[in-house]
Amino acid sequence: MIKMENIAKSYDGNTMVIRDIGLEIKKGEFFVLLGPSGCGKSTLLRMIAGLEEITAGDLWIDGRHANELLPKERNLSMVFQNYALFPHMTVRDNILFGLDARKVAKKEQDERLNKVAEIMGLAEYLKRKPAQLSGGQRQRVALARSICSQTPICLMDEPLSNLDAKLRGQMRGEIRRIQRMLGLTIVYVTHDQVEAMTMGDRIMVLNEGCVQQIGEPLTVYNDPENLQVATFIGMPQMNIFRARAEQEGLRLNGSLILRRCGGQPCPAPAEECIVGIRAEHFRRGNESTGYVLEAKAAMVEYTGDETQISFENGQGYSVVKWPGQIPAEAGEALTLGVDAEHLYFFDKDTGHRIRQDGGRSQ
Amino acid sequence: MKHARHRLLGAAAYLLPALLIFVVFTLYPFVLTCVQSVFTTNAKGDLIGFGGLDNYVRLFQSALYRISLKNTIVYIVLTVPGTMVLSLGMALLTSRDRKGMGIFRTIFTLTMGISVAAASMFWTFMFHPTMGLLNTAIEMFGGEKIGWLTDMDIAIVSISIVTIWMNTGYCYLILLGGLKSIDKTYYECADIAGVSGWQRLKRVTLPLLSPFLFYVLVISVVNAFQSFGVIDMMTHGGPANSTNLLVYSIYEDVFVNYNYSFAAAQGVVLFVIVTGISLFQMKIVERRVTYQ
Ligand SMILES: Nc1ncnc2c1ncn2[C@@H]1O[C@H](COP(=O)(O)OP(=O)(O)OP(=O)(O)O)[C@@H](O)[C@H]1O
Ligand SMILES: [Mg+2]
Repeated sequence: MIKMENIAKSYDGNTMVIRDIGLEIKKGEFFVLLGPSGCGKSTLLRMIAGLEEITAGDLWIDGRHANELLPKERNLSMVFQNYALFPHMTVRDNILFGLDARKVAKKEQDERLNKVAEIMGLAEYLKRKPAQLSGGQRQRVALARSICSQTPICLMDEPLSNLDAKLRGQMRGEIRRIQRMLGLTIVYVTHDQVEAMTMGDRIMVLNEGCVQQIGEPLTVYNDPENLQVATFIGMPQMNIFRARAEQEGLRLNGSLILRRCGGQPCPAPAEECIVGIRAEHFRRGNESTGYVLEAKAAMVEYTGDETQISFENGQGYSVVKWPGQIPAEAGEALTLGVDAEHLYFFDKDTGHRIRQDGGRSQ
Repeated sequence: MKHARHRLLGAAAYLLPALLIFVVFTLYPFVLTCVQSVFTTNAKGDLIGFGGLDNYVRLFQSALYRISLKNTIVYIVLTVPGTMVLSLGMALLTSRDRKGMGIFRTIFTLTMGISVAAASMFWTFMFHPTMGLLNTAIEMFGGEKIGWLTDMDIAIVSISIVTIWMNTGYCYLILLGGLKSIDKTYYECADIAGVSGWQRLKRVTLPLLSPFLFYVLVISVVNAFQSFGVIDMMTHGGPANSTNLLVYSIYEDVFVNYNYSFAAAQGVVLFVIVTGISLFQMKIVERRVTYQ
């Protein structure tokens, strides 16, 4: 449906905001562009929309070379972060905006309107002006306008970022439901990893204009390609340590030691590297498999359904996370177990993932 | 209780300066004018007898007053739409950020810095029957000379041209600022939907610009009612009262005819007219304005 080859963008002719991006988005796919603020997500989306010129590379939309197509010729719709609802038009006129220009007959317009208003639960608000709607309702109108245009591709730039947490959760599900129902191809920009994980069929992680990884949400989470992706996805952030291989195990940040238990091989793929461990991958207690870390609890936090305990790691704090309400106190000694498969190694200079094929004996 | 009184005193202290200025310079002269208008006055302006509504009756019977009322209407009909269309057009043309646009923007706003006197002089030369640039140009192309300020039917048009020329700069600046303040995503939304050209202007740009258009409308109308300088310098209301507007007529009755109470009555009527039109604008026209 959408294909990019070596796409690059520069606003001023010097600095590249987007570098060498290649990807293919399939029909009916929910594709998420995820990345920190300023990494170029909006820029990439706007290039697809035709609102921003493409500096280099090729863009195909629905089989057509699209670099030079006008926005309206690309047959897509867009939901903006601020919704871009016209304050002087009623909800109805806002939803139908552009259908006249696309030469849709009045009768057909009414049919579409009624159907969309029903799906989106907007039927009773059609005569209101946007100013008389709540944030969530406005968001729905913006979405309804996009659906009403019946374009196969829908672009969304952080459409939920102006909503409160509860509404955001609700709209996540709703957008996903409608996307499935209508078979829309959605390109969805967000910096919220929860949105990315829960909504996307595939995620593209972007950083400083470069693709870090493209893959299904769980793949990206379980098998990050590099340090950027590993630390960007996951709450709390993956714990990162500088690791040095020693006799009895791995020295972390020059202070803690990740001790190997009974006959485990030395895990490190290199003399020095970076090791990452997710908070939930620490096991509680002193089982004699895998690796063990002795630390001292610095702070204990309960969110109700889970417990987070942080400990000093020689260069700051690391976090472990367990489901349930675990009795613990600051200052208490912690014995944490980790399985070999839950150790992520990264090159200490490049941050690239170092994969180990099976166990390596000493 | 004490607290409330304290706050009232505080509020009064803050309001006092503005209130004082309003009373001395606006309310007092206005009341004085109203009082004057129902008396008769001598040439020095002293009240010499109660006249009731005599002045008003005389006013509506006066052929000259009716002419100046008609002139004012013609003048408004010419200058208000003229100024608005011209300044809107120029603002639309220069609202995009392109190289060299700054030059045009500067040129278009230049008239703001020109005084009425200078503008009148400049245009008097332009309109000069034999040496003026306009007639010279017309003759060059084989046309017939036009009596810009001497022809009874043309003079009001000429005066209107000068007024438009003088007011456009300011209105242009307001509308340009208004266009610049419109969120770009509205246009992008229109681009993607394929709404362009005239449709985009009608459905997107103008409605979003409406608060600014409304402001420009209101001040243009009020300015037109109060227009005096250009008339005084270029035509003195002539030829044959064809450019005699309401304010100029008041001026003549005070400073030429020394007919104070009659002028006062005209002042009151002008006040009623302007208030009425302003109310109409605020109640009816402003309904179609959407503030963002
Ligand atoms: N019109 C522009 N002119 C020049 N530079 C721009 C322009 N728009 C964006 N940039 C730059 O391009 C980079 C990427 O911007 P972009 O808006 O795509 O980021 P983003 O990932 O959408 O960020 P956010 O999550 O904050 O919206 C930024 O460094 C930004 O400063
Ligand atoms: Mg953005």
